[in-house]
Amino acid sequence: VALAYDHSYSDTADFSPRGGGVKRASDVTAFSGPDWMSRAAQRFVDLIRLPVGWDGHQGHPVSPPIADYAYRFLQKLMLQPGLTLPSITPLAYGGIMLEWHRRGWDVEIEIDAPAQHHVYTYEIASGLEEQFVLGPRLDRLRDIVSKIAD
Amino acid sequence: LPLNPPVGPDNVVLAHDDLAILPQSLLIRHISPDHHVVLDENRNVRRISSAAFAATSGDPDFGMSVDINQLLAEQALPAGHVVPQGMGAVSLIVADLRGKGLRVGSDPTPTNEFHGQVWGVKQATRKAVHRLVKGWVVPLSGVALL
Repeated sequence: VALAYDHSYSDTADFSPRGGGVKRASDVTAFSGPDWMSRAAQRFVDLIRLPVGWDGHQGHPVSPPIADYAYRFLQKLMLQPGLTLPSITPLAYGGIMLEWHRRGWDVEIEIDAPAQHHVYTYEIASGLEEQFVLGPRLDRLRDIVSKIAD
Repeated sequence: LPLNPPVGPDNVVLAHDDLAILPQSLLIRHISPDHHVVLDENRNVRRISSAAFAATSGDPDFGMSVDINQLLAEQALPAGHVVPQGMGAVSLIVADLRGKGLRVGSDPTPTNEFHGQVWGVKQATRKAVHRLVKGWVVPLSGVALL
């Protein structure tokens, strides 16, 4: 997983790696990029606009700084060729989970604050299960992501 | 019952384990079809994400909201009585959760007198809680539990 951004973005779009992040729904419509980016961006915007109690209990909407960070983080991951867009699920406390269940692996990355990732992996064939906190270097994640990419 | 949960100085219910909630009692956790269901290509199903069992915002004791079926049953109400329209719901058994070291207590709210909490649902525990799901209370069509 390369860590440098190498896509082309609209400089006018607020929702870009150089911009201010997810702030308005109109940011998404102003955004230009691959199709997955638009879909992911819309999903993140939807999640920060969730009402309190969206989960039928007392769940809070996703925190905008977490959504913004998760989107940038996802951009890095999606540089891996053949990687599909994960399920993007909100967590009741305002965090986000990115999850893939494919190619014999369950991979879940929880983001509970910007730059704070908790990773869960499960390999079905071996039954090997692992949970760890991901540090600022994403090396460890590179191997995992390559396993779930086409 | 009645239950008398301990309350802190800011009128917030404190984490506790109320043994008046019987071991065989069911707890009800709501499931959002829009936000808690994921595609599992490995098993070729749509299923509940473990994200559905996250603690609620701001709780230092990692409380996960539930409805306490024992309270519902005392009023002869069905387990899905307070599940919002369009939402699904699953059940968990109190003894199973206590067996994982989690605490179960009531935490009534102005809109849900049957509301309770399972305290201690940290990230590493969430998977275990998901695996303890007993079954559907309000099923979501075509969605697997695990």
